[in-house]
Amino acid sequence: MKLKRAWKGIAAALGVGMLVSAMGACGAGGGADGSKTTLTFLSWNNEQTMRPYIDQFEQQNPGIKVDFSYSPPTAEYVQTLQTRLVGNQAPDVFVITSENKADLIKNSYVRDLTDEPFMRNISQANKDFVSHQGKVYGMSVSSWASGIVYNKDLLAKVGAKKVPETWDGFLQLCKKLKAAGVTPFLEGIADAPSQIPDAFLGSQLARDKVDVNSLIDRRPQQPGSDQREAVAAWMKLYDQGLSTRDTVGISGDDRKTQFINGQVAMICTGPWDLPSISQSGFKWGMAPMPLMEEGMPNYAQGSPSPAYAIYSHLKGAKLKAARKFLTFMDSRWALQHSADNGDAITVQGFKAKVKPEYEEVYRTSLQTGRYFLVMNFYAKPDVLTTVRQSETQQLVQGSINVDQWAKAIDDKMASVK
Amino acid sequence: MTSQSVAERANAHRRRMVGLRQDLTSFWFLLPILAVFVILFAVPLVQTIIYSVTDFNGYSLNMHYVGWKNYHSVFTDSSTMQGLMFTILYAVAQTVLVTIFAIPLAVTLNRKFWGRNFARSLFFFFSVPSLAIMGMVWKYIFSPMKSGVFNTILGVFGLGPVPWLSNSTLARCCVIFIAVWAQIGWHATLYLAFLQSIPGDLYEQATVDGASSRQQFVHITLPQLIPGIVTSSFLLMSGGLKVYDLPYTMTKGGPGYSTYTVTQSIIQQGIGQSQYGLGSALAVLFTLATALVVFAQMGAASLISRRFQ
Repeated sequence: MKLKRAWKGIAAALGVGMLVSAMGACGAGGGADGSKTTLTFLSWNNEQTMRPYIDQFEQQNPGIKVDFSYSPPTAEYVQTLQTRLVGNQAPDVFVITSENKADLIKNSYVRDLTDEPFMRNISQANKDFVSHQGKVYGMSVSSWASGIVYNKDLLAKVGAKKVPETWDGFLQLCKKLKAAGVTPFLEGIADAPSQIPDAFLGSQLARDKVDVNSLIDRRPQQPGSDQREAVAAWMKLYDQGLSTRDTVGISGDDRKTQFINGQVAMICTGPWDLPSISQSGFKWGMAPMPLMEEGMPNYAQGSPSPAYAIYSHLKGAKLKAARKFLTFMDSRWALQHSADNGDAITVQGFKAKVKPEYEEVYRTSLQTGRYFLVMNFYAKPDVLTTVRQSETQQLVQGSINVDQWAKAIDDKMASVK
Repeated sequence: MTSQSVAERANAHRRRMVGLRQDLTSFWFLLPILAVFVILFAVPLVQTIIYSVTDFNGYSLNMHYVGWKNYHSVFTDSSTMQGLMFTILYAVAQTVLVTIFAIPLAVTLNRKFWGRNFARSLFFFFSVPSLAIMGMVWKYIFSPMKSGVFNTILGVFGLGPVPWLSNSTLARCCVIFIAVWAQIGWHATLYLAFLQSIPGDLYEQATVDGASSRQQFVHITLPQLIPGIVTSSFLLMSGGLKVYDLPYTMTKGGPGYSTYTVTQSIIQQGIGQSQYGLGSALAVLFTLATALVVFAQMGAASLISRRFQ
C-alpha cells in the first residue's frame, strides 16, 4: 500500500517536473530575446543610477540587451571583478579605476581603446589616467576636484571675505579665526588621508617639470620621498596648533557634520559633499586649494572619474555591442544626464553646468587639467593608500616625524613586488 | 566443531553485521557535515597552503613557486607584527574580563528578584546585534569631538573632551570595552545554564554547616562552573583571535596600527592588495598559532578540571 503511494508520488513529481520544463522551454523559445545580443555590464553605480542610461541605450539599440550587475565601490567592486575575471565569468563592459588599472592592464584583461572613434573627444587628463605605454584602456568622461569650502559668516567674524590664495595666508587666517574663538579648519583622517598634500604635490611636480605619467615606471617607487616637501608644508597646520590632532579619530562624515552645524569655519572636500552643504541654510562658498608657495602653479586634489573598459577577449557581435555602449555613454544625452546628476563632465566640446559655488574650482582645476591624486600615478596604489593612511595618522599624532613618515612609506613600497 | 561453537560464531557474525550497519547509519548522518567540512574547510585550507608558497596575485592563474619568501615577508612586516600584538591583547583581555564579569552577573541573575526575566533578556540583548553594527554605533558615542556622546556628557560636568578614538591607548581600551560589554550577557546566560544544573542540596548542606555566601561561591559554585568556564573561555579566545568586524568598523585599525588585527592584515594584504601568496602565508601561520593557543588552553582547562574533581 505504502509502496503504491510512493510510486504515485514519484509519478506526480515527474509529471510536474515535465510540465514545468515544457513551460520553461516555451518561454525560452518563444521570446524575442533569442535574436538579441546580450551585453554583460558590471557597474559600481547602483541600478537606480544606471537604469536610465540602460533604458535609453536599449531603446536606441533594440538588438542589444544589457545584463546589468552591480558591486559597490571600491574594494568590493575590485574584488568582484577580479573573481569574475579569474573564474571565466568576465563582464563584457566594466569599470577600470586607480585601484585595479595596473592589474587589469598587466594581465591583458582590458582592450586597447586608443584608436576607437568614441575616444576622440575624451580629454587628455582623463586618457592619461588609464594609459600605459601610450595605449588608452578606458573611457572616462568626467572628473572631480576638491577645494576649500568655507562658512562666509564665520570668516566675516575676522574680516575675511574669501580663502587666501597661498598656504601661508591660509595659516594666518586660521590663526585669526582661532584667536576669535572659531574652530578654523577640520579634516577627517580616520578613514582617508588629508587631501591637501596631494594638491601640493601636484603643484610641486608641475613646478619641477616632472612628467607625472613617468612616476609609475620609476624604480624604486618612492612616493614618501616625493611627498616629503608637500607633507611638511601641510603639517604646519598641526605643528602651529591650528587644527586639533584628534582628526585621526574623526571621519569625513563627522567633519562634514561639524561644518554643516556651523561649528567649523573651513573644511576641504569635493563635489560629493556639496548637495548636503547646500541644505545647511547658511552662506557658504568654495575656493580652490591654496598654493603651497607663491608663484607655483595651482593644483587641486582631484582625479578623473572611473573609466568604462571593454573585456579584451570580446569579439564579433558582443564587441560591436560593447563599442556601441561606450559610444552611447559618450553621447550628448548620456553626458547631459551625468551632468544633471552632478558630474563635472570634461569631454571636449561639451559645455557642462556645475553648481555656482563649484564654478571657480571647475574653471581653475578641472578645465585646465590641473588636478592630482597621488594614488593614480604610483604602482600598487592599494598598498600606498593603506600605508599612507596609517603612517599619516601616526604623523599627526606626533609619534613620528616627516622623515620617518616618508621612509616608512618608501620601505613598504620597496617590500612589495 | 560443536554445534555450540557454530552458534557462537554465527552470533558473533550477526553482532559484527549489526555493528557495521549501525556504523554505516552513523556515517550517513555524518555525511552532510563531513561534506560541508571538506568543501568549506579542508579544500580551502589545502589551497591556502599551496598559495602560500606561490606569487599568486588573484588575477592570473599563472603562478610561480617562491619557496618561503612569503613567510619571511610576514615576519619582516612591522604592520603585521603590530596587528599580532593587538590581536593577542584583545583576545586575552576580552577572555579575562568577560569571565570576571559574566560569572558574578550570572550568579546575580540566578537569584530570585523582581524583574529577573527582564534583566536576563536585557543583558542577553547586548549580544544580539552584530559587532560590526556595534562598532559603527559606538564610533559616534566615543567620538573625540566635543559633540561626541560621551564628551557631551563630560562637558555638562565641565570635563573633557577626551580623545577616545584619537589616542592609541584609549582607542585600544574602547575597542576592548565594547567587546566585553557586548559579550557579557551571552556568556552570563551560558554560565546561568551551568549554575542551574548545580544541585540545590549542596548549598543547603553548606548552609547547615555554617558556610558563608563567599565560601559557598568559592567552594561550590566556582568548581561546579569549571566546565562552563572552559567552554566560555574557549569561545572567547578563539573568537578574539579571529576578530575583524569590531575594530574595523570602529577605527579601521587606527590610529596608526594601534587597533590593527591579524585578520585585517590577511584581508588587506591578501585580497585588498592582490598579494594572495602573502595573505595565505599569514593565514597559515595564524591558523597554526591559533591551534597552538587553543590546544594549550584546553590542556590548562583539563588540568584545572581534574584539580576540582
